Amino acid sequence: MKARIRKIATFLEETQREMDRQVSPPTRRAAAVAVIENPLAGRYSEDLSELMAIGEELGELLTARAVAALGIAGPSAESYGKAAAVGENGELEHAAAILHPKLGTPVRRVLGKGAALIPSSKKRGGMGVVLDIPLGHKDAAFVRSHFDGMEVRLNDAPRANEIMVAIAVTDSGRPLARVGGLTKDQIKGEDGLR
Amino acid sequence: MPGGYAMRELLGGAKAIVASTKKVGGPGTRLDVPVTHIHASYVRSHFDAMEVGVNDAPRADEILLALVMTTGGRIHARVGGLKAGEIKGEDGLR
Repeated sequence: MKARIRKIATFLEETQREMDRQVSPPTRRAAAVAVIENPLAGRYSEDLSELMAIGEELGELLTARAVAALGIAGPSAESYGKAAAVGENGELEHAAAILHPKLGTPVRRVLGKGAALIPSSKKRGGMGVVLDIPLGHKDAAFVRSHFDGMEVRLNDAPRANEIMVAIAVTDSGRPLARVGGLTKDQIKGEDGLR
Repeated sequence: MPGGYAMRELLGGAKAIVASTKKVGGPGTRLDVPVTHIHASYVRSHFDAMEVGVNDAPRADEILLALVMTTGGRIHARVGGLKAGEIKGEDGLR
C-alpha cells in the first residue's frame, strides 16, 4: 500500500421518517473516509504521480468499505460522490491529484458501472473541517431525485500534514423526492447524462 | 433544476450540468459548493469547490441558497486531463 493511512472512518445514514411521513423503503447512504499522510506536504512538487497512485488505491478501498456498510452488492448502488480535504501544509492540487486522474476507475469496477461523472468537491482546512461530498446518480447525472450531498467530519483530521479522502455511495435518492425531472427508471445509461 | 436554466441563460449558453450539493443544517452550517467548468464537465483544472456559510443562517424556517462562479480553475493546476482550451462544447461533458 502506497498510502500511509492513519485512520479509516465509515458513516452510515438511514432515514426512516421525514416531515412525519414514513420513508419507504428508507433512504440509505454511506461514506468511507481515509486520513492519510500527505507525502508532499510543505513543498512544491511538479510531479504529483505519487498522489495519483494513492488515489487509485483509495478508490477501491473506500468504495468497498462504503458498499460493505450499506450491505449491498456493488451494482445495487445508485449514486456516488467523492471529496477531499487537505491539511494546512498541503495544496488544493494535492486533493485534485488524488481525486481526478485515477480514483474513478476502481470505484466503477467495484460498482459494476458508473457512466456518469463522479461529482466532487475539495478544500483545505484544519482539524474538524466539515466536508460536503456531492452526490449524483452513478449512471445518469441528470436523475433529479439523486442530486444530494453527504456531510462528513472527523474531529481530529486533517492534521497539517494529512489529507482526508472521502467516497460516498447510496442505494437510494433523497427522502420523499418530488421535484420531477428525469427519474431513475427512464435512464438510458449511454452518455452518463440521461 | 429550474434554477440551473436561469443561471445558464445569464452566463451565455453554458452547456454543462451545474454541480450541486444540499443538506439540512442549523445556523452557521458550512456548505461546500462544488464547482466545475460551465461548458464542459470534464475539464480537470476546474474541478473545485468553495466553502460558504453565514453565522446566523439558516434559521429553522429559512433556506440558505448559494451560487458560485469563478473566472479560472485551481491555482497551479497540474493533474492533466481535458483542458479548457480543448473544449468542444457540444454535449456539456467535453
